[in-house]
Amino acid sequence: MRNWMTAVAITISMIGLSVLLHSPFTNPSLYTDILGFFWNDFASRDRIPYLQLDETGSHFEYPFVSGLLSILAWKTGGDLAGFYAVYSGMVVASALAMVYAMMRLHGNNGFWMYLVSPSLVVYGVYGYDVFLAALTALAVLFFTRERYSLSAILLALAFHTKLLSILFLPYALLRLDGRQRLKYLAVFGSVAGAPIIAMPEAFRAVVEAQTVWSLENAWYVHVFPDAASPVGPNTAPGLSTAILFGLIGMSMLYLHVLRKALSPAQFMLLATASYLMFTPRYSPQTSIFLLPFLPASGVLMLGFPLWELSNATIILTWFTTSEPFKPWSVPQTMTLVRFIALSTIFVQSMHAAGLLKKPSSAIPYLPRIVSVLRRLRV
Amino acid sequence: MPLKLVRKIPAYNLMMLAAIPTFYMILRATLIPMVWPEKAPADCVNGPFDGCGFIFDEAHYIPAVRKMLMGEAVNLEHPPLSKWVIMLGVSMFGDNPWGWRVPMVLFSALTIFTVGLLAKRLGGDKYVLPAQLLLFTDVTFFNLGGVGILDPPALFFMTLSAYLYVSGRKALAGVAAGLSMLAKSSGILVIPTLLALEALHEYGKARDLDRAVDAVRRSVRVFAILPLLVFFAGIAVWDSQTKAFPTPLHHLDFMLSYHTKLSYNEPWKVELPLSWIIPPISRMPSPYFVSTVTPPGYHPVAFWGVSSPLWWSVWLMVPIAYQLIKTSRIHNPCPEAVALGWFGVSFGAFAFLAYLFKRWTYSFYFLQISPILAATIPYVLDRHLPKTAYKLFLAFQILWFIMFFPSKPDWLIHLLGSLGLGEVPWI
Repeated sequence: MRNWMTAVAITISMIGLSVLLHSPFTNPSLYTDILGFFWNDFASRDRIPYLQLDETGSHFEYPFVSGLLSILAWKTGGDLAGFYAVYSGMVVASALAMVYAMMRLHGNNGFWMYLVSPSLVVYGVYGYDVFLAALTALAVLFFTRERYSLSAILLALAFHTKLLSILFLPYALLRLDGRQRLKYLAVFGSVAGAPIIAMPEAFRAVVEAQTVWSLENAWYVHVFPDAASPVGPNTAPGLSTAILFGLIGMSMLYLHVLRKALSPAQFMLLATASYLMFTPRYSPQTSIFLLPFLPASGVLMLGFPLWELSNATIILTWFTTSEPFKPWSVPQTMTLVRFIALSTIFVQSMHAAGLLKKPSSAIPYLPRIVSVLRRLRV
Repeated sequence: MPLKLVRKIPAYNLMMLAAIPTFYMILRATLIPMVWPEKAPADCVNGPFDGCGFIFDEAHYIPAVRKMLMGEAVNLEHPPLSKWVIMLGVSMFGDNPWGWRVPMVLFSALTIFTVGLLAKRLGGDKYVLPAQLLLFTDVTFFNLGGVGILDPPALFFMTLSAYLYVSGRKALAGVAAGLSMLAKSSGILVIPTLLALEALHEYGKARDLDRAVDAVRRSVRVFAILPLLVFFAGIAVWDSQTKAFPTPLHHLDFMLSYHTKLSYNEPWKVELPLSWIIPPISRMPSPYFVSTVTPPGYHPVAFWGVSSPLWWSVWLMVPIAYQLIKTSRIHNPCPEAVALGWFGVSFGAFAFLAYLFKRWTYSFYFLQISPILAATIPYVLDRHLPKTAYKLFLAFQILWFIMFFPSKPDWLIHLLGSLGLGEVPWI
């Protein structure tokens, strides 16, 4: 109980601070996507996402639950102040749901320390990542409690918040057998498929917006400097190779951690970390998605603070330079630091999950290489 | 255990396996001079290409090969192996249709031969002849198999990769997959296909998805990394000749950018994947090269791209294979699993690109699936349907092939007319 109260207090403080920092009535206020993408482009012009396009002829770029929550906040709140208040309330409620899921998933062993997170402050009232994290964490929680239909419904809702929750689906199917597997797939498919069938073009536009993009805060912009671009699709040389590099890295790591021997929380931690380490588009707010699963790795003394601080620094330094997307600008240097920190988290989590084998000699594989060479000589 | 590169094939079996490919080679070669250029090669380097005697995409690749022979770096959006093969043909037989098409006929005959090997390995001697005949009589395969484009070498290496996989030589299967990528970019689909086959077989053994994923994890090195290395090595050789790109990665980037831009806006103009596996009722066959005599309006030479009963057989194969894998434990290699896995991944990938990303697709992309279907369908039908089913199926395929044979003698045209097929616009 004490841990729960501590966690609630920390969460409310973090999100509360986020509400203040992003408020359009604070001067200066931090940038937030919900005012940029939703309020300015749609609500203030009386345009309804998915049914109408914005001024530039573009679709709303987030999936249906995100859009629906925004519309709900707009219609309930009325003006900008009302919209912001209702939306902030929703974020607080989601964050508390996320905390509940964390507590039930990881027990009372100090899970709350991961809520002392600069990302929650800087990106809490920013986009839809808290909703995504809460819905996915609840889906994972109900999965561990063997309430599979509920888990599938929540996962589908999370999918329509931001597509990322799909990472859990292959694992869920791997863990379940026979009819349960089919049922999970059917429930997920029906809930996720219904709005897609109803509005296929809007969904296609969402997928396109989420996938056709340049390198955005990916650490390998330092390897493929030509692929760096501020906003929007670009045709810079090196972009396709850079994206391919990211996709291959991400798939290989994901495949490596896709094992039913892992607990659902351990799997989500490793799978999400795999994704974040190699995604071509690592928007810093996406880090919130990892928070509910971090306690599965035990205590992260070095990696967690470094990862969190570098992640927050990206947006705080973004507007201090004219080309924040260029290699070795402060934000992009921070993406490199963030990658290193996340790698240490990944390795430690692999170790905690028992996926790191002990090398049988000082130099791994040396005995095997010697044996192959001997055979070749024979 | 020593690595066996070649396994001995008894002489009798070799003759049996080589009969249909030899027949294909002779028949297809006789059709080579039917489409002959009126202009000199020098006049057919840049468009327009009327009178150049090109069939279908030869209009892209033969001028490109000519420029490559002149030392130019062109057609860099496609990998080089098939163009090198055409260059070899040109240097051996001259810059004429023999030079462009003979190497392709040879590769297609080799594909039929390999399909025989595959059918033998999967089902036994009984299925060699029907399998080879099914591929031989696939109208699109027959027509494009002797045309100077990228597909024949790519199809051969894909089929070889499948054969090496089912015969347990996985590293060599990976190398063949890399060579197919080096012949045509869509060869990249062999990588997920081989991984899927490995997963499907492992799953079929114990009904355990975790083991299937583990099998994929173990196979990534031979089925993904090895083909990519082969591909990059080939691209590096090409780049060292042309000096067009500083590294193979830059070249790859150029290729990927090119292929991601080929999107459509008007779906009715596109040969979308579903239209490949239904009889040609929704859209007219594609005229690759058609000459028309008017009146009476028939086509003395007509190379059509059209689906065949082999392609439509997936409607039977998929439920049969699915049911088998679902209800019983399968051995490795299992023909049903090979057919389902190969079709599922290749067709699924094309459908995904075409319907979700609106990428242009063409019906002849199905050729990537045809050889494997041809090798497995006789066994699948024979095992799961009444005994005569696959023979009737084969007969239907042969009749369909005769209807679309590129050069029909007068008696055949009259016969088809008397059967009421004279009004079919593509007869």
